[in-house]
Amino acid sequence: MTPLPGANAGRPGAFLAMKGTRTLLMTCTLAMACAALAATPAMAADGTASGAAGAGAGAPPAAPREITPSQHLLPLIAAVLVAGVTIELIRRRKLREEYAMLWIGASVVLLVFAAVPQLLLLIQKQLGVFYLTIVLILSFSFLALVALHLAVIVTRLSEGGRQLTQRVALLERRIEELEGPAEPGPSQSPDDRPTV
Amino acid sequence: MAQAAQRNDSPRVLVIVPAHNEAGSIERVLDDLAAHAPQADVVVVDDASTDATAEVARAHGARVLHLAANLGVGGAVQTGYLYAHRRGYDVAVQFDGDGQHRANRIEDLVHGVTRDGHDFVIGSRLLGGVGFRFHPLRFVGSRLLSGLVSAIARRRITDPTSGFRAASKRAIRFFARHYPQSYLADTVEAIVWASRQGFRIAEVPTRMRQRSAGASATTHFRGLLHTLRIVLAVLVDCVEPLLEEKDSAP
Repeated sequence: MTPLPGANAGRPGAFLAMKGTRTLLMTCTLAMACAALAATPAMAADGTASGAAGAGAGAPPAAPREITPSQHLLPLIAAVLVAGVTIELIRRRKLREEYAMLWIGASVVLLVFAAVPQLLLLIQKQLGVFYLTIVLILSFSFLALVALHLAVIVTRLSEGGRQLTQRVALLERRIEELEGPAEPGPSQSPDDRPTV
Repeated sequence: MAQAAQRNDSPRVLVIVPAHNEAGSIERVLDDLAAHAPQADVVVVDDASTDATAEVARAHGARVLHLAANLGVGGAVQTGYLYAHRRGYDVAVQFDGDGQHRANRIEDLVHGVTRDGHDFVIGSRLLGGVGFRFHPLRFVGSRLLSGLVSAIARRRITDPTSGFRAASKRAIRFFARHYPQSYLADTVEAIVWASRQGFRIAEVPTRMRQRSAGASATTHFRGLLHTLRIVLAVLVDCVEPLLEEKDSAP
């Protein structure tokens, strides 16, 4: 597991060396992570400590339960983890921002849920489903989105690979013609004409 | 090609032979082409063969375009169209490297382009009741496809999966830019694309031999599945936005 964003704080030089979107992205995410961290203790304080009201025990949640500490903490931990790994990968140039957008977006959504867990209760009330169900639905849709995004990228990559392969074949043939002695040619060669 | 010669100097014809591991049959194909279509230039597109296809083809005087990675028939054929487009050929003829087509029919296909003004001429193995027999199951699939393609192209296409076809200069330019890449569906899709593009499409009867060497890409067992895939690909083609046809160089 790559270090969390906090690990970068000690090395401002590396941070300052970055330019453009990378810096912007990292700053935004770091700021949000800090804000969420700051907000959590306060939030956790007014949530009741009844840990027994775990996810989805018993009948459907007709009336929303109180917010448990875990409902604060879990999304927060997940958000920090996702943001940290994503940012570290971007920083090491192992991941391009373009492909990290979905993950950054996911950590933002998680942060929102960490900061305002009442949102989940609201959804719970509106849809009449359990906390765990909502989490599963959300994470499944996100993964489906990521898979689709990757499929689009694969299509684009294979398209590029195909065009490269074709052009290399044409270039190799051209080199053969320019280097080699007279081809064991069929008809008089149209290859002498410049490319169209 | 005598008739065409009357109008202008004879058209420059390129025969595109896509070949993947066809060392066993490419020699016969090239001999056939040399004997029956001597005016045409031949380019063998070697689709990353692991056998001696490229060497055999070179030894028999063909130009060889060697693809470093396997692209499938669609990618190989398109490479041939790119070559034809860049070298300014008037007609390009697709001719499979497995020896199933007959070179003496090339003239008919080329005439369809040069004399009759069609853009895309398909050599049908079924037209005119000439002797090729499909397995019954494959026959049903073949009828289904030909019905579908005929409806889209608004003209009778009896053999949309035939890999024997001729393309005009306009079609060469288009296919150099856009050619369907789907496995086994590329022949059918090419017709659909061409007809949606407003190309004039025609069919001429050709005889066909049973394959001389190598294994066919389709078996009867898989035939039905492939047919369904092709139908799906064609249906998707029908709702795709039209492709650009301008002459920016690919």
